[in-house]
Amino acid sequence: MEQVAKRVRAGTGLSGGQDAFEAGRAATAAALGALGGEPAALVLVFATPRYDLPRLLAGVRAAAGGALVVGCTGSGEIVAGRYLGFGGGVGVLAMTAGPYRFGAASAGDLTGDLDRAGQALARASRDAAGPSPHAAALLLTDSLLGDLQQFAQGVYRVTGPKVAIVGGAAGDEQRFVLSSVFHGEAVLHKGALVLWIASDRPLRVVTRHGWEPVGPPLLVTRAEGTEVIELGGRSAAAVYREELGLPEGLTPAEFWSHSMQHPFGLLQPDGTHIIRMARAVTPRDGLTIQGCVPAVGSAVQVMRGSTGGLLDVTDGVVGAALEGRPEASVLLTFSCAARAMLLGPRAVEEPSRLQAAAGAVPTFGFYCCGEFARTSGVLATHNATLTAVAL
Amino acid sequence: MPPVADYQTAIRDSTRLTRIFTILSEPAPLEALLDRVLLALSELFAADVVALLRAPGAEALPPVWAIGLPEDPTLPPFAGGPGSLAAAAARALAPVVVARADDEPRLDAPLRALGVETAVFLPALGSREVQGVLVLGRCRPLPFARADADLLTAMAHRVGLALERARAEEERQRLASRLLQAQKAESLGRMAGAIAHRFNNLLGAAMGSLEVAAADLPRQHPVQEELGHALQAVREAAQVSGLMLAYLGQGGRAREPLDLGATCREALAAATPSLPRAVRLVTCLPQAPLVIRGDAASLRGLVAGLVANAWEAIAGEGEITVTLTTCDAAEARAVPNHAPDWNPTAGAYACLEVRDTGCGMDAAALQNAFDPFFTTKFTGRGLGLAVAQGTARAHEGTIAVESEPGRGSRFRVFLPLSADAPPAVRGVPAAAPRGAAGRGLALVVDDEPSMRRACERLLRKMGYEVLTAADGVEALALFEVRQAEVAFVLLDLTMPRMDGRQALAAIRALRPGTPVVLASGYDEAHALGGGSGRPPVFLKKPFSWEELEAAIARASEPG
Repeated sequence: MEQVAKRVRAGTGLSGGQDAFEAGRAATAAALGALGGEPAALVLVFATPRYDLPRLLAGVRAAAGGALVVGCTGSGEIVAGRYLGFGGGVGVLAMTAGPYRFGAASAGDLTGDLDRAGQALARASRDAAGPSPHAAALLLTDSLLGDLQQFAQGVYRVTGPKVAIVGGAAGDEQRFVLSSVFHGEAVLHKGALVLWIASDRPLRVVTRHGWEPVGPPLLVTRAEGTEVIELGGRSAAAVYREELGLPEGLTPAEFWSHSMQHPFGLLQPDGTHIIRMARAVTPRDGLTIQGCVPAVGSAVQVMRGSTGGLLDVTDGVVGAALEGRPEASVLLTFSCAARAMLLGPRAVEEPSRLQAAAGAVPTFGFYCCGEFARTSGVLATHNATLTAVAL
Repeated sequence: MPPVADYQTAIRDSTRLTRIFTILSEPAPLEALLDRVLLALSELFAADVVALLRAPGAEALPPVWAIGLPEDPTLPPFAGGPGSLAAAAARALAPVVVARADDEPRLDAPLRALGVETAVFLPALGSREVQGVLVLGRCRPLPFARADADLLTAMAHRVGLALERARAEEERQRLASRLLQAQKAESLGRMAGAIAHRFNNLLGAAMGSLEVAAADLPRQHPVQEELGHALQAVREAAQVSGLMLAYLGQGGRAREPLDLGATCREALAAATPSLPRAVRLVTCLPQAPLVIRGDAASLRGLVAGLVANAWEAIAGEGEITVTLTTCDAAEARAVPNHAPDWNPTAGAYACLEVRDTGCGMDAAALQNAFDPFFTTKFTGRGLGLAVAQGTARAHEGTIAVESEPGRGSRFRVFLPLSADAPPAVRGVPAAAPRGAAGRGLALVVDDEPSMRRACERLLRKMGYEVLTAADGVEALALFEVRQAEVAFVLLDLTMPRMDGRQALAAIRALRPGTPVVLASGYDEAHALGGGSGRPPVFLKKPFSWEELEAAIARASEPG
């Protein structure tokens, strides 16, 4: 008799309750309610950092039973079309295993070699999930770890190009002080988690950003750590200011308000761009890039975006993620906290448009400080980008 | 790609090249450099897979380093045969671009398995030859542009130069390390030799005392049996000490012309009775004499050791083939896996081959096969091959081994042939009965008091009068006064103030033709090497009553 892969059942829940335990329990119970009595294999939790997080996870555990629980703090949550803004509460996705097998591995207090950490967690999560012809690796990391590309690159050494790499960096509602990753009831700081999703079918990661180039390509001629020091042989910040007509002597807040609207686009051989956000000007007039710096020898362009342009990519993301996947039961999405800030009052539209495009497939995710989606080569980190994977 | 002004493209390309060159010129281990280069190439050229393969030649090419090749043991290897893309790039010294995977049947299986749709193969050319092949692959239908392929070719050349430099440095370090190992081994050898010498001196004293005690007691005395056990234990201890010297290549007696074929036949005749019935011994030994200069006893031990090693590798039924042939130095040098420090200089070599159909050895076992106490068998073994290699080394030869798990082993011993005439067959002299037949004055010279005392008592039992001296200076003083009475001198080799060689020369200067027995814990070749004039008779410590008696008799023969 031919075996038919069991379909995933998924449900979402949310709570804006003040009591962390009760909020976690209630959101999880609501998500579990959609599983028709089947036990959850995986529970994903994205929450505001304002909660007492151990109590929040205790509440989740109280409802989730023995399910694998993973998640992190963010800068807003996406729950079936709803947008939970800063301090908005907790969103929970519960899903049965269906045709998938899950394995998770995490570590806290990561210092030093993030590449090795990525490799180690990828191997451990893969081993926990077991072998499969296809897979996805969902990465959740502290956004304050440093060069997140190093971590993603380590994961890629283990996965190779056939395994989709997706996820996001935890945030603290743009304060950049303390973000947290969850594994079971553990709250990890300076930590990272890899969730290995073993699958019999290929899993596809999709990215769109909606930014357009406004200036000529600029060559990165000097970079170090997370700082671009020179563009075309000149001070990077000076070139950037020149491109945008900005005055010197902007305060950090003033600079961020401009740079948020004008990230760099890292030019790819096919003409597309991978977005890199300049967060601050350094003392030597370089630019600090969020998450991952473009390599020396790369060409970048200053980008611009509009509210409409940023929102318009949602349909494309959902359409590409669900294309040829009629069995998909959930759409995991990871958007950028900077996008939500740029969208302002219209930020609510992104989750609602995602859900509208996904139809009956529930959407779930959070607003990150750096998105993970390997699209070409080893590069798997993005800024100001919407990414998704359908399960 | 959007239009980019030519000058910008040029700057971009030169910046990319500079980036790669900068990475490769930084002081770091090769693997770290390659990792950084391959990561940079992956990022700059949006390549999902970047692999540096070994230079083509073998059918399967293992990557030297790779980005994007997952940890998957089922992933097939890259092809390196003449029909492969890697070989095509290496032959042409130019990039080979695969624009569409579906149109290129030669695209490597691992790239196809990973969903690579377009790729480029680039020769990593060193200063003279191709050091490897750099491969970039994309999992989407975006072929590598000609300009990118040209730029990548320049980068691959720099990678080739870096590889060449790193390999040369590795070779230099390997040679330096080997030299250091050889120096350590030499120093350890000297120490072990000195220990064995000291050990033999003490055993000599013990053996002498036991012999005297046994001679003092009636044959039927109940203590005789215990003395016999003690003597046997001393002889076995002497054999252990001999093994140590043999491993160091210092064992054995002085080398003399011998027929290696005859020596092998003697050794095999002795070894055959202990072979299991299921093991068949096939020999192919020439009837014509095959002459080398050697010590027959240690060579018999070498043959016996190799045969024992062979049958222990055979579980159940099997065959051991022993063949003796000759070859020239070039052939001997070309044989794989011989001792790395062996350099054949003789014109022709005897090649003794012992081949078995046993379990064979893997690469790791093969690497350590001649290390002392390394064994894949049961505890307590592990000296046989080490001693055999030592014996070969002492004969200016070597042992080479080839083996594979499940396919048996092949040991080949190379020993330099001699132009000497084949030796005449000699009879074995009959043992003389023990008794106090000695007449005259013996001068015993030894710095080891216990050894001196044991020799004195032994010689008195034989009927001699005995004078003793603790070194050459004392001995010479005594000899000057009583030289007319001295029937023979029993002279230790290694002593303070004036050693055995110096004392021998002085004694012979005073009275040429004085019978001298030179005794030493070292082997004969080591003890007698470099001497001139009438050679003294050599006696290896420890020695028995009979051996001492025979040595005195030989030394006293009219010369």
